[in-house]
Amino acid sequence: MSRRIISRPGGLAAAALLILIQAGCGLFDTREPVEGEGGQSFWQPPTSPEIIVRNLEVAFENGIFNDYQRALTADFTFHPDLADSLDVEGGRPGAFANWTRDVETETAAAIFATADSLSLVMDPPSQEIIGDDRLLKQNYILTLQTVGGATIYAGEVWFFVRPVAGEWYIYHWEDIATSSSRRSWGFLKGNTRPGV
Amino acid sequence: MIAMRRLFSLLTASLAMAAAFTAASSFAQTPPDTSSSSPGDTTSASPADTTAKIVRKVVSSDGTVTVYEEAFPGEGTEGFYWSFDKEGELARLLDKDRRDDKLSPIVDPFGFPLVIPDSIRTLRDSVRTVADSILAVTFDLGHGFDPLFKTAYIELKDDFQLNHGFETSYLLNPKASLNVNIDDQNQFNESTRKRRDDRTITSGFNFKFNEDMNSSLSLTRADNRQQRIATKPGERDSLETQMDNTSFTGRVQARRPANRVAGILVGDADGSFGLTASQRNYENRDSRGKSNQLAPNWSLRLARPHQDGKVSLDYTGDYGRARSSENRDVDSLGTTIGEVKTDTKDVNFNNGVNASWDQKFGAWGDSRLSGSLLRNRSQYFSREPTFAGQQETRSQTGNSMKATLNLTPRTGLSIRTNGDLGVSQTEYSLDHNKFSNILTGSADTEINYDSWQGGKFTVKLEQTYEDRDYLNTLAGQVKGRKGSVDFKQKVTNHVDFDAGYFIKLDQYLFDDFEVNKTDRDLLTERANFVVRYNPWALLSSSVRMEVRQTESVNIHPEKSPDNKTDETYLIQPSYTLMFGKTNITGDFTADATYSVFDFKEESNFLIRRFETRQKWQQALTPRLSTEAIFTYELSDEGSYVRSAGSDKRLFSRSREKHRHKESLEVRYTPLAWFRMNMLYRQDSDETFNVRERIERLATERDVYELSGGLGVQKKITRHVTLDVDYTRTQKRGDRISEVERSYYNVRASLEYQPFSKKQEKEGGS
Repeated sequence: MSRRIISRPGGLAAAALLILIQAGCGLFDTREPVEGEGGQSFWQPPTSPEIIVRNLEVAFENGIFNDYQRALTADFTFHPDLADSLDVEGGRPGAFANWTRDVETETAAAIFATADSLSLVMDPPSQEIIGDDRLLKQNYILTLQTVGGATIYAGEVWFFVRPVAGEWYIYHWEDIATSSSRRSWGFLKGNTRPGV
Repeated sequence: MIAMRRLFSLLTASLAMAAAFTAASSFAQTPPDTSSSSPGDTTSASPADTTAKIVRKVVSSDGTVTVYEEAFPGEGTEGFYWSFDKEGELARLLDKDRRDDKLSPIVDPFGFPLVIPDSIRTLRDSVRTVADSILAVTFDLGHGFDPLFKTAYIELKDDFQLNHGFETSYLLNPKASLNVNIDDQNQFNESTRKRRDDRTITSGFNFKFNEDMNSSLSLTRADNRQQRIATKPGERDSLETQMDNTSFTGRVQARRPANRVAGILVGDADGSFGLTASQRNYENRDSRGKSNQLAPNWSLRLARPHQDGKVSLDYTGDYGRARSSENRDVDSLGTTIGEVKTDTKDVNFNNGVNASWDQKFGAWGDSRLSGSLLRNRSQYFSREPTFAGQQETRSQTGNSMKATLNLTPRTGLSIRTNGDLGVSQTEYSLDHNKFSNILTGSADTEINYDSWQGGKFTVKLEQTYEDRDYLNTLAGQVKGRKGSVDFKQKVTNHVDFDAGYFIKLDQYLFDDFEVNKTDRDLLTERANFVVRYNPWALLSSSVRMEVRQTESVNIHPEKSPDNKTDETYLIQPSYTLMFGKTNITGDFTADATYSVFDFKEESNFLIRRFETRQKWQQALTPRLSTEAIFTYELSDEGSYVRSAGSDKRLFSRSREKHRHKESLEVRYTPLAWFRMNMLYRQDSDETFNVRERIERLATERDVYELSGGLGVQKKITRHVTLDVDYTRTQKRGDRISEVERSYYNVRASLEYQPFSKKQEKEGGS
């Protein structure tokens, strides 16, 4: 009797799977890429906290946003400096609200799109241990080159990274405005976020 | 149009599946009716477990979140079954006296803290959102005179915070009350040298005309300030931002049940009208300004219940006229100039209408249909460097529709389907390039079937679509598709298994393929299988197997050389042994991740990893327990090289890493309100570079940590409550930064309530 009880859901599961496969036919196919030459293998397996930050940096500089997104965890959060938050949100309420991984990637792509070329220089990080996680603190200079000239952003970034199955990923990003003469990357992000 | 067709196709597929389930389920055997009560430590069982009344032993509870021992393996999360009392949590959050109470920590049987699972935390957040929305429209006069003083000191490594608070309400007579709230926070971070001061003072007068009409007057002043403290002698502190905001609000709220227009019942009405006068002064590094605004605001809610349903209409709006002025020292190119003053007149408004229809269809279904319209406008001084200091106008419109259909065609089968469609547009009068018009659509369905013994089957499908109309190269479409199948089955009283499959595809298609070269697809797949076996009460074991694949496809030839697929294979046996006062758990994980490049095979990469974690918990006495954890990890990595003269590609190791961590913690809880603990931890790793099979030590790191802590949570007198959590940590190691060599983590708070409710009751009795 119990075998009969189990066999029905088994059949039902198979039927549902069949329908799912039918419904899914072609839905999950990726597009055919156009084969190109060169490439620099930007993504390194993130076996240390420094590598994941380096991956994010080169993905941003080279506009590889699948890699940029992969460097961040699904529950990624961003926290701007209070001075930037009050300044930007004074005009654009909601500029920093609900800052998720998708928002971060889209904003990075928007910054990348506004510049003819982009250079990001980050100092070697200082590293602190927080339980199993790490906090990497780095000074940065971000230069956006456009037809009108170069705009330089400077400050300090704090990356909170954690290990996931032996690989490291960034789960929180804090931007610290440290320069009295330069705007910060956080200010740029708040001003550039699309759709707000 | 194509997107709409795809959405439609997904919905059609979902409905087809739902129909198939409904039909198929009619042939399935009806399970025995075993509805169970839930007194004491007994919880009601899910339909999958309805063959018997399950009695669970409570491990820990904070009042609404309760942890039980698992009734059968794999039932809960990491060996514990969690439950959440939504009604209890809502009642607590709506009770002003209990809302801010510190909850008891949730601990395992040995007194070590447990982390609340994400699913429970999400539920708790959603209940808090509901409570906040109820409190926002609830008129509360308060009771008697009940002042509360709070002070707290928080030190987390190099971050110091001092908070003070005062709140009280005073019932002048049965129809009127006064309330005052003061909140003051001072924070200093030694690393960033930033000092932040925030203060908010609110005072209000509330008056109740009758049960259906009330009014309030409130005056609020908020100050925020951030300074960077000088780091070198001779350097001066610099002000980074300063803002103060003063607002005065008067508001009348009224409700009228069962309204009729021309004899037709239009339902219950709730409405409010208010007037806010506010002044904001601000200063940042290159500008100073102020803004005065007068803004009437209003809301109206009509709700008409009918048999098994409700129709409601909400309208909220405000209209503000402001005068703003700003002095700037820096021009649009960032050059320091003489002070330039700009004066503007601003018009700001927000309007929103939301209509919804909820309907129940007997015991087998319910639906919700809603639509909303938004129109917002705000004027402000632009922060965009090109237009800095000029008046910018942002106009936003949004229209959206949502539909939800929940069906329960028979016991054990539930089908939930949602559909969303929305358009939003944002325009800027100066910075035209920030224009956006975004069409979003999404549809998802979830089918749960669990009407047979000890099993559950879940299917989920989701599709999202965004058409982004921007005036830059990011214009294009973003498509997302997700599907998953989960199957859980209890095989015998000692064996059960879970199997799951998940697939997700994200696609970015930009309108100008040649200018924006980041057209890309990202496909993620995961299949997992877990089997659990608990032959005796003292032993439970499991084996988890998982295969993951992430395919990154860049379409443009300039980006495609970096296309790759990461494949991960994982196996993880684990066990738990429980001998009365001893608990031993352990797991062994072996995984391999292959990175396979589509067009550059020489870049192919492999990481192999073995990790084991063993934990021993021992209760020495009812108040003293220990926990020892040992972790060892061995990993190596390398790439594939084609050997000379041969077509074979061989794995060539380039790096090997060893890591081991040990920790020992002793917890002593002599009294229910007092706890002490000591923790020793060691974390070491060594990395070797491998060349021609010879290993050379590249890096070596050792960290030793000793920390001692205590916790006090006690009502010292009837009026004073003390809450302290103190830890001092000392670390040793070559690469330990100065910040974390020796530090304190302190959270101490003191609350004083001289006329607490309890005393009033006692005094009155």
